Amino acid sequence: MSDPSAIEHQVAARLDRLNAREAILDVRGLVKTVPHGTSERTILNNVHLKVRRREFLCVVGPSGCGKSTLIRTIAGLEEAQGGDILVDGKPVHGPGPDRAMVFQGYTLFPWLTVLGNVMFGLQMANKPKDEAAREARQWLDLVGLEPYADAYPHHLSGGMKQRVAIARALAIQPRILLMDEPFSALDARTRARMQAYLIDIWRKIDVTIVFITHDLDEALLLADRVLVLKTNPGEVVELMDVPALPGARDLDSPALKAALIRLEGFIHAQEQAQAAEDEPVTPIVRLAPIKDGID
Amino acid sequence: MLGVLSFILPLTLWSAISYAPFLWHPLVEITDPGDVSYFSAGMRAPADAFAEEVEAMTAAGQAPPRGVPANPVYLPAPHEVAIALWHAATPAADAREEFRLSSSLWHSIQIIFWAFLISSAVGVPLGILCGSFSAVGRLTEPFIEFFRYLPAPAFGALAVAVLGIYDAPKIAIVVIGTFFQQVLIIATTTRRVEYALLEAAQTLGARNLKLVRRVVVPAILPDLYNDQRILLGWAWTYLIVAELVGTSSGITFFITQQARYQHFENVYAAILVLGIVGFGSDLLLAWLGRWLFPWKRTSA
Amino acid sequence: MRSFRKFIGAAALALAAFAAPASSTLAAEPLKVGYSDWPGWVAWQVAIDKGWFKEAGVDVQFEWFDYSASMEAFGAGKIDAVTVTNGDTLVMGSSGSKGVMVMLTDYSNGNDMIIGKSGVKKLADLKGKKIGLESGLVEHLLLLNGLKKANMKDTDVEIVNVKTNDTPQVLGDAAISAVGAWQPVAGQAMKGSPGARPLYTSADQPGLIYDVVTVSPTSFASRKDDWAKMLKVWDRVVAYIDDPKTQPDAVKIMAARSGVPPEEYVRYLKGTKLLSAVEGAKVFKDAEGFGSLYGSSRYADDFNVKAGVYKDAQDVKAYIDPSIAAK
Repeated sequence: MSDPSAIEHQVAARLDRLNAREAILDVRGLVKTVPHGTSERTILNNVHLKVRRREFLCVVGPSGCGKSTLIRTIAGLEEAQGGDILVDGKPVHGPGPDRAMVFQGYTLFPWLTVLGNVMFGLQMANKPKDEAAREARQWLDLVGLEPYADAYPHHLSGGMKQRVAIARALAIQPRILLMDEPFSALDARTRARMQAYLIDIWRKIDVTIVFITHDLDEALLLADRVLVLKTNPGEVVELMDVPALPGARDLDSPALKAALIRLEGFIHAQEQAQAAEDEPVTPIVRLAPIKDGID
Repeated sequence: MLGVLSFILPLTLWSAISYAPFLWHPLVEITDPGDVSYFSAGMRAPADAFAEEVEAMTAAGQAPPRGVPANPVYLPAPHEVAIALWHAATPAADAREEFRLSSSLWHSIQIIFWAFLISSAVGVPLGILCGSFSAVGRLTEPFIEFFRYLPAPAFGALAVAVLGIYDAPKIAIVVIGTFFQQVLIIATTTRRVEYALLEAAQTLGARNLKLVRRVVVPAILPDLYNDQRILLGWAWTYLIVAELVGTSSGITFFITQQARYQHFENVYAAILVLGIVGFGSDLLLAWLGRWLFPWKRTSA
Repeated sequence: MRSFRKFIGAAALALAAFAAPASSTLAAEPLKVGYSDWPGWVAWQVAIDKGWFKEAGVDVQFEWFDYSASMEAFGAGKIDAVTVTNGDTLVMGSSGSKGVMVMLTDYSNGNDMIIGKSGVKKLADLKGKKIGLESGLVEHLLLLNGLKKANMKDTDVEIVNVKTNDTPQVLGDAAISAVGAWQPVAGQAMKGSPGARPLYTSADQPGLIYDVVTVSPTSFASRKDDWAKMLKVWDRVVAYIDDPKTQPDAVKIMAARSGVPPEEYVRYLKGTKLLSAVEGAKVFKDAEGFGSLYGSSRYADDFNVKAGVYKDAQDVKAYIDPSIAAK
């Protein structure tokens, strides 16, 4: 392992380079509410966020903090009640091919072959069929699934399905790849492999990634920066730089260990605040474990 | 195996009731009227009335009637129906067209074919649009919901007045009976499309009609196919009322005419053939469905 | 895709083909007559099968209907004439489907009957009892006619409205003492209920129910000669059926039309008195009583109003045109 202070310098230099770039995604004062009985509930409150070109941003937060809503609103699948979302300086309304999305549940089209799935977005852009097929094969090659081009999704494993989904999303050459807990349904080994794949792909092509996860380790393994949201309403608590370079990272390194503790601190404070709010009157039976220090 | 048994059980029950004289057999078919003035050979009398007459005649020293236990004429025995089926399959050369089971059935199949085609040509696209675009659904569905409760046969006279006396009003009745259900069922099926697939498609640049054509339609196709199978069965049930409109023809005429003259073995033969045709075509369509939609393993 | 388009094209073509015959009847078109399963009307089948219309120089197309469907088709103006009872001609007319009775085919001579259960010997025994029949139809008319003759009032019996086809089962019900039905249903009802017998039949009142050819007034006005030729053909049919030498052949044709064995069909023919042109001419003379179509129709009109089939009495004369039949 190289000298920690040298890595620190390299990381700082990389983040400086990132920060010097124009924001590819600029979220300004985003407000998202949903009807709740007769009144409204605020899901996201005044969220500001700038993501730079080729940055890998992870969004973490306790469940219910609106991570998913944030990324779905950026994707244009949900409408914001306030604020702006700008991609390359232009406000977005509704979904568009500049933002592709990978979902937790794969969402491959079961009636299309693997190749057909990857071709889908290209054909929506009115590319001729043979050209779309040629391009799609290249993207499949990138995720290592070219031999499965003619298979149907139900013949693939979960990890393979998600690789097809990534290829399908990348095929339309989006400016931003939005990923909503893409690996959380996979087993630990597959997930680790997929994380390595993703980093590898990201480093090969010009794409910016916004990645939602509830797994802090995953965030530290992948991201340049980690955005921490708090819950009820969802607001930005912290935008933390990850003290490591892209590529194979060692979670046991002192810098990442310290980062993890910081992140856990944010989340833990959140969860306690949430628990206190959920149960304003603490039932008597709950007192005992706290006294014993088990909780 | 159980599937075969599900046919054997009712058949056994039917045979038992028909051939075991101690089961049901509420009547006595008179073979020799004896001295009972109002009995005649071949007549079916209630068992108790028959017993009374036997007692009375014996007491009076007159010839008692004789007879064998029988079921009402409305329930012919399996072998009678089998014979009727055989006759239907091999009609006499001079039999009128309408009394050939095959030609009546063929006529009915044509009615169903055209009615279902016409209903589907409008109903399927409309149903998909209703399910895809809430504005279309809100514009059309309330009326359709209302109309589907109106009994299709009630439009018989109007259909004749507008479309004439031949097959067109019959087709119209089947269309009326099928179409409104079809739109609603297919709209519902369309709404059941996995929403995530639509979202994924939208993030890939699919919009409006392209989204419908390239995602909604293929996504629901297996379910749509099954809906159509069910609706086709539905259309068959409307055939029976539709064929009472206008000139007499088809399998309904065959059944009602044979029932009018109490030839219930022919009626049952026709019913059986209808069942076989319906069940057979459904099996065929189900098999075809599995072949058409290999990726939908749940399609049965 | 292309084959699908072809499909749609074929469908549209077929629709057009179906719709085409529905357009109005032109002078060059054959006379369209709706007929149904009653011996007096099935008799036309003899002329159809033997090609007698062509020989008589008139183009007639017979369409086979269920009885009520035939009246619907006539009401909708889709056929030029329909074979019905004189009473039902009035019923159709009261609801706007005017038709004129221009010739007779027969009168019911026993095929319509009131059947009493075992133990019921005459109509008088039905006092206070329940009778199953199709309310407002000919069996109802027959019952009221019989009751009157037996010096009974309409209210002496209770009518239970049942479909004629269901009367055999209804007669088995303990609460029901009698049913009204026509052949072949009537025969079945008696077969299934030992001791059941006809209490009163249309043979007891000949001319109560006349069966006629009712023609749309416009068709009759414009093509009277053709309708007169129809009557000539009918006379030939009656002669052929009544002649013992040719009767078996006639019965065979008629039985085939109804889908029953000839030996079974003879029975039903007996309950129908076919009327030759000469016999018909007498019935077409305006007189009171059942010997005249006028008298019979006035009686039916009275009944229809009383039974609530329609509200206002009809002008019977407007429904009868004796110009070809009374000659």
